[in-house]
Amino acid sequence: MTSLFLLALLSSLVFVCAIYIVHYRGNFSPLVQDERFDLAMASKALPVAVDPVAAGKRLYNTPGMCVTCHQATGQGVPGAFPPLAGSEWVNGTEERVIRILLHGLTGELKVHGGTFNGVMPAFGQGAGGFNWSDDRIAHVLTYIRQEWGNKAAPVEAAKVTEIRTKEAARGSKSWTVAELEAMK
Amino acid sequence: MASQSNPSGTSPSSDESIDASLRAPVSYFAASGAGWLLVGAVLAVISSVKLHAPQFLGDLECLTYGRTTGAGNVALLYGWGFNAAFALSVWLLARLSRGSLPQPALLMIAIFFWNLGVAIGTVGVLWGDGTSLEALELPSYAAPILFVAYAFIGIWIFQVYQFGRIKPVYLSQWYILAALFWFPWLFSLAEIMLFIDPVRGTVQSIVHAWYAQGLSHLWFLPIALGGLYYFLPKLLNRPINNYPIGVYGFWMLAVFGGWAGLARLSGAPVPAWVVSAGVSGTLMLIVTWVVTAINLVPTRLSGRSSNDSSGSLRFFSVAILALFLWAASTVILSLRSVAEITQFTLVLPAQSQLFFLGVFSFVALGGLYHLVPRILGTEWNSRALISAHFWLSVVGLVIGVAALTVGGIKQGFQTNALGGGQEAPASLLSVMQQLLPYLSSQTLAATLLLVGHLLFAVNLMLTFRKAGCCCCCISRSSASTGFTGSKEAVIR
Repeated sequence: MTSLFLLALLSSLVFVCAIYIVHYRGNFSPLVQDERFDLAMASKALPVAVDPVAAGKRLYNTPGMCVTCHQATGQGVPGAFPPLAGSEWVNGTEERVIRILLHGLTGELKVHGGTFNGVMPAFGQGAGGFNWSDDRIAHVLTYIRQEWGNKAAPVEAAKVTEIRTKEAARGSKSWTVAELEAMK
Repeated sequence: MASQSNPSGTSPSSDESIDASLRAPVSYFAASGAGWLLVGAVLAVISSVKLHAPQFLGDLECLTYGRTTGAGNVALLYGWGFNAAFALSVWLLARLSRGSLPQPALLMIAIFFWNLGVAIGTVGVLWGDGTSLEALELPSYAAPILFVAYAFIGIWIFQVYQFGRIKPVYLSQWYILAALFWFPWLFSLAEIMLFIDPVRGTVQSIVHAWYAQGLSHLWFLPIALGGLYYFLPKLLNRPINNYPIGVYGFWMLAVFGGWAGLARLSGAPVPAWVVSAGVSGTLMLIVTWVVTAINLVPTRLSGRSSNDSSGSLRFFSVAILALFLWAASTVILSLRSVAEITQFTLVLPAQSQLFFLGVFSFVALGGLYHLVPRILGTEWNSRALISAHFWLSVVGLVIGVAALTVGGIKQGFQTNALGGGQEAPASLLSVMQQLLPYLSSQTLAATLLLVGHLLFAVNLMLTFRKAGCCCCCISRSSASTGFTGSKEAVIR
């Protein structure tokens, strides 16, 4: 009698435990800590949309970055640093701005009729560069191309990747205006 | 597995020769156990006071809360717990398999090294070398000493069974022999995976939970159950209620005892299935609890004490009660919906106190009260002291466990309400402040326990003196003075 009772108890416990484990198994995934977490739902929610303008604004205004020379107003410093607002370089073809950001720019430059002769540092890879990712470069370019009245098209990270690959051989050598003007 | 409920060999001369061979080592176990119990109880009082009066002894670096708690745990678990478990297991195995202890002197040396390891561990923790892992606070340099000493002690205790004259294995022996093999498995794996060659991040907490709960389920609990399965029928002169099913309880504990520990990780950053496996293990152990209840409760209720000259039966009764309370609490607290409230609150120390101080310590104390007179061949010096110790321990246990449980549940609800809601407390600090009365009650409880254990130690010392033996003598000759065979129970 007692043995029968124990058998029944054991069977029902096995039954309960089986249901419990199936219910709370968390897909047996090593990454699921909370069993209420649904992998299928989570994967749909995963790609987080980043607002390139907001991300670019944060990068632009990081102390020591773009804002140091080009100023928060995008006006630059007359005679020293060129303005970005309304600049034909910023609003022009993305081929040029991406290259400027990746490798830097030296030599004489004319913007809005003003002449500048400074050094724009490289933000891509290579010696002296800031090692920014393609995403970051695309974000900050999208920001400056759409802020302060600029109305140019956003820059895609894929385009940055493409140019970075194409110019890989260039290393950390800065661009000159003459080289860039040769491009369309 | 023999179906007989107890071995029946009761020739007085053989009991005497067995007890004589055990006299020195068991006295040593009992004396050092009592000493560590005192050390642990003092440290427990200090850490308990610090929870509601942090300035208490606040200037002493070696007595900060983290260190006294860790050192207290080491002294209680490895000092008191293990010495008492060794005393019980060697005596029970000797009695049940009718074997004497070969070469007690070698066992004495091993006991010395075990105590040395515990002493180094306790001082090491106070010194600041402790680890942050509950139940494994021992500094890593103390662990090898303990392990080697354990190996000798374990082998020696096993010898008693090996060379015994009665081979059928009684359930108490199942539990004790299994525990003797389970502990080195737990301890060596935990030491290797946590300290010697540490596994990575999350796995460490899983290994630790397995060890901490395994120490209860696979070491202290089997020793306690082994003791209860022996002492109850013996003291009450009644057979175990339904002996044949006892073995199922044993096997369920053997299979699921280790798994059950993972339920401790509920809410911790480990994979969800690990916790589910732990909860399932805990649920499967219900079979063990039911079997134990079917066997022990009717046995306890049916008989009147016949030869309980030292009053150890009441210790076992409390232990049985505490065992089922604790078992129920492990099942209830493991469930996720409950753990959401109680996890990481004072309920957990309440639960471990209920087990270690309520279940294991009461069986161990009852066992020592029973076996020390037989080993020494003289009655306890004072029965009044035994009664005082019993009542102080019971009151201390009840106050401590109740205060921590109630306080912990309150703490859990309030902490969960911190995020918002109608009766959200102002801050975590205000939640903590509401716990102060419960923590003060815990100090009262720890003090009562300390006084009780002090009485136990004094009584033990006086009894040693009465028996005319200093606790370190290795004499085998004078054990039988004043010992009559009639005192020995004829067990059915």
